[in-house]
Amino acid sequence: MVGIAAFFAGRERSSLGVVETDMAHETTPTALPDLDSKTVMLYYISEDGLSLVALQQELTLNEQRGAEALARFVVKKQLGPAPAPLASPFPAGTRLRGIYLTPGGDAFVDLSRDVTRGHPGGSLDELFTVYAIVNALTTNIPEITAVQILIGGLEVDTLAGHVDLRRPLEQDMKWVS
Amino acid sequence: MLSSKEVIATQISHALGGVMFAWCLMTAESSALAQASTDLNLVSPTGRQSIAIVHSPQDQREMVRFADLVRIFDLDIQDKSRPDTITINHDGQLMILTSDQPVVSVAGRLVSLRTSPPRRSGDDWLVPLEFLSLALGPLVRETIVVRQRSRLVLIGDVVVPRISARYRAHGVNAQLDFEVRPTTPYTVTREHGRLILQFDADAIDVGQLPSPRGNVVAGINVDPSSDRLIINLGPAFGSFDVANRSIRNGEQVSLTLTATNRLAATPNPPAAAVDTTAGDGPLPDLQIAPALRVVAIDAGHGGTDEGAVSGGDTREKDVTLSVARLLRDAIVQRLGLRVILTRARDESIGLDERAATANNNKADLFISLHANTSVRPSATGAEVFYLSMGDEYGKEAREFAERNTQVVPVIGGDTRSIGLVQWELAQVRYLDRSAKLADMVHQELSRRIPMSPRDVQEAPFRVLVGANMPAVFVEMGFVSNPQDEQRLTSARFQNSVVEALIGSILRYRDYVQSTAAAAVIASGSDSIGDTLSLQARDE
Repeated sequence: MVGIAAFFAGRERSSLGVVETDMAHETTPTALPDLDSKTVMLYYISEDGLSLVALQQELTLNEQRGAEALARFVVKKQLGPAPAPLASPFPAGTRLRGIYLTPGGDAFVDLSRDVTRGHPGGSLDELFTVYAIVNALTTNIPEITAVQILIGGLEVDTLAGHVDLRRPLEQDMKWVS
Repeated sequence: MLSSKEVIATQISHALGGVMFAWCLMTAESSALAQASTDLNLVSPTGRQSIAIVHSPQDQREMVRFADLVRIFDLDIQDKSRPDTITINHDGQLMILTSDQPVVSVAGRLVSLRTSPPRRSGDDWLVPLEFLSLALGPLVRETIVVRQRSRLVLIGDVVVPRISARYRAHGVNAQLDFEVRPTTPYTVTREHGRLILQFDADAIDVGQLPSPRGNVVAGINVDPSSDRLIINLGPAFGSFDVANRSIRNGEQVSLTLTATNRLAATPNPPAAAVDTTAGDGPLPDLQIAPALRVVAIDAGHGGTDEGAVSGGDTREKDVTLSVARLLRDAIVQRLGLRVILTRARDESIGLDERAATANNNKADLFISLHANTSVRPSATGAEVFYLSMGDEYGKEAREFAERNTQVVPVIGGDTRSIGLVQWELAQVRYLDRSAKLADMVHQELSRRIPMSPRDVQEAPFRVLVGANMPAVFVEMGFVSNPQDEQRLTSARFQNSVVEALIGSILRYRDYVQSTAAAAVIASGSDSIGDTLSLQARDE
């Protein structure tokens, strides 16, 4: 896994319209019909701070994509600012460095170190950070059944000292009100 | 003629719900017409004061001097020109008293006094105790409750539990039951040959106390200066346990005081009612090993990892270490168990190392202490977690165990198959017990400290995964919430957390013992198979 992580270190592209096709272990993208506009479910921290809230958001894509590219769109949108009055579960400046899907349905999401450096450190917010990504990918992309978060291109034990990130995590909607 | 005997020593004015109290430390000379008997203790959120109870010369009813109330409640006497009437002003509200008339006008409303009318006594006036709640309370716009039996007057929003005590001797040991209504947070500490039962209350209302004179309990009394119950320990005292149970409108706090082993181990116990001649075979050995011997306490974070940090510089790592130390002392002193701290100072300790410390010391419980933070300052309250091992964990652990089954010999010449579990997935065996423990911790905390609206939760917390024993994760509050932050750093709050965890450990011990006893009875001596476990590191 470290090899994979090292591979996509530094491969982030700023444009949402670019498809990564040169990855060493790239699977054949699954063609998705009508990807020009897609409604996705994203997750933000509720007003009382005690749960995630699911919110429908519109994604506009400018060309045909596969599941991996859609996953990139979803994560980047998820990392963006939260619509008021909700709060983002991600520290400001957190960027997506890369994303990789295995044939078995695991997604590896590589986030910039800002997600750790800027994290307030509470276990509940850490759960929200992790499960916002996990739930966003597993609810919007059927090909993804579990998500492992990498940070700075490396596998990590935890994000802020609590949630076990050593394995792919499955969808868990109990954090969503 | 009523005159002040002592000068006013100090005067403190406190705003309380719009009422200004002028607490005056004074005693009044007894009137020629009324004889002082005892004191009435006034309790408010800002402090306490005593005034004398006097007896009416006419009918010997218990009364108080109106002059005392004028001073304490900062009342303004507007008109005392008429000998049989007095008019009081308080923040624009008028009260009119007429001597020997059982009706008082308060803010335009008439209030009847049932026990006695106001009486003029020289230059002073006497009013019955019910005057405080029926007339004075509405005048100063504050709830005033008179507990005549206990000589207490409760002013405003105060917590004054009623406490009754019962003493029972059990051979050389003893039990003290305190019925506390309503349920009130408390701490029990042992110091200088005494147990101190301290309630988190403005005052305590204690009924008649028993008078034990045993070798374990030498006496019980109330410390009037600090509202503590003091249990004086006898020479045979060895240790004590605390247990709680709910009763109507409150709870019962039971202290079990055990004599030292030297005295408790009577050489020739009374002949048992066991008929050893009955039956053909030997009697089953019903002895049950102690359910708990070692408790591991994990003070979250530490060293360079400060954990959550508030705007006021409260650091999670300091709070967790402080509570861990308090809990360690309480467990050792009160339960006599061995305690392992995963860190005893401000140092960086890895998550694996914490579980390994507990495992290597064969801890029976693992309690990880934390303080939370949120992007929302309004988020507040304590939370309790145990490990969620989703399908990934569970599948991995199960598959590993299936591949790594070993047959080992057991006493008696038989064999037993044992499934090995990866060291780092040790917790998979204990999820049910961890859930039980988490539930008990949640219940005990709920009775003592503010909780988050979330119930007991499962989460994939890294520090719990490798714990080879029942394990819980406790978030005590949010440092990002100003009220929680203040609480988290207070000794009173930390002691409440300790009390809750002590209560949880005791309940869990009882649960394990009762389960083990049932297993022993059900299956005779071959009952420990499900508690056997071997661990293998995944090299």
